[in-house]
Amino acid sequence: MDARHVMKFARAIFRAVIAAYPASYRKHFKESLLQTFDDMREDAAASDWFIIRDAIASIPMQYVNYFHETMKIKFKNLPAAIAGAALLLPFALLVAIAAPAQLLYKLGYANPVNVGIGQIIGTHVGLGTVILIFFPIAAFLINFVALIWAGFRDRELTVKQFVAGNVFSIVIMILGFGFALFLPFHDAIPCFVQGIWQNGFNNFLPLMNACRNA
Amino acid sequence: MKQKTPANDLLTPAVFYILLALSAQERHGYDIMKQVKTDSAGAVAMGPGTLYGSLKRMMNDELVEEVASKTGERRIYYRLTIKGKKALGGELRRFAGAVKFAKEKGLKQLLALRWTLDTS
Repeated sequence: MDARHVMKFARAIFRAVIAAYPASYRKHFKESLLQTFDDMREDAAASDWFIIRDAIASIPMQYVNYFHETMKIKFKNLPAAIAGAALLLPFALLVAIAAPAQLLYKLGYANPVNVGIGQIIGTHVGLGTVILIFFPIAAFLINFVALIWAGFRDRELTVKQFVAGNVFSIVIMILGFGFALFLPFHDAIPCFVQGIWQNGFNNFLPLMNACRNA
Repeated sequence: MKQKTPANDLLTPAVFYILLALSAQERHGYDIMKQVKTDSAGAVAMGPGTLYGSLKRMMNDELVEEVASKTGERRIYYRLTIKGKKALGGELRRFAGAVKFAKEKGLKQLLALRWTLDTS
């Protein structure tokens, strides 16, 4: 590979790195970055690796700045996200306790009677229902309503700005939805994943019926 | 939203040297990089990613601003704002004060004081 090809290759990598920057930063500085890259190469001011490494290293900081700036302006659903996270916390703690116990049981180091969320909840079925179903649904609904409200309130935002500004609320809403589905469907999930893995989406409805009773 | 950066805040080495590079004249990106390397005797070597990241923050903080090239080049030039000049002036005064203090007290005594602070 001659020097011209090395130059082209290095420039292509540098362009790819620039593509990884946040869009607003990229739009503003892309030409300047490429111009500076060419200048540095022309003067042999630094190695290609130094320039590319420096560009890669500054990507996370640009995203931190981007989210910081964006959220500072748009993020207004923090109370809903915190409330949702608090509601999901007991569920997460139960899973955190039960999951290692389940793993030990699978490995043959634990008694089946002592493992699983059901065993932890024991006879407190009401409390278990609240923690495992009602709290996640509440977390989902609180953030869902907050996002709908934010959507009406901040109509001038682009979808990207809206998502960036409400990212915590969106994450909690998705987690709440997933947690609420976990209890009724957690036994069906392995069956469903295995069916999709083996047969793709052929016979999708029979698969759902088969896994419902798993 | 503009980030609040009082002119008397401590500046990072990169920001300080960029301000210093722009104190004499308007410069484009690569020119700033070369000047920073010269002024810092090679201690601060920045690539394009670091440079333009710093310039973006500095523009948000209203320390520098973009200007179009006077010679019709496509390059973007940068110059200090009044706030940038104040920030650089404050930092230089701080350095001058430190040098004066070191001369008055004697560098040996100053180093001894630092050793005491480090070990206390």
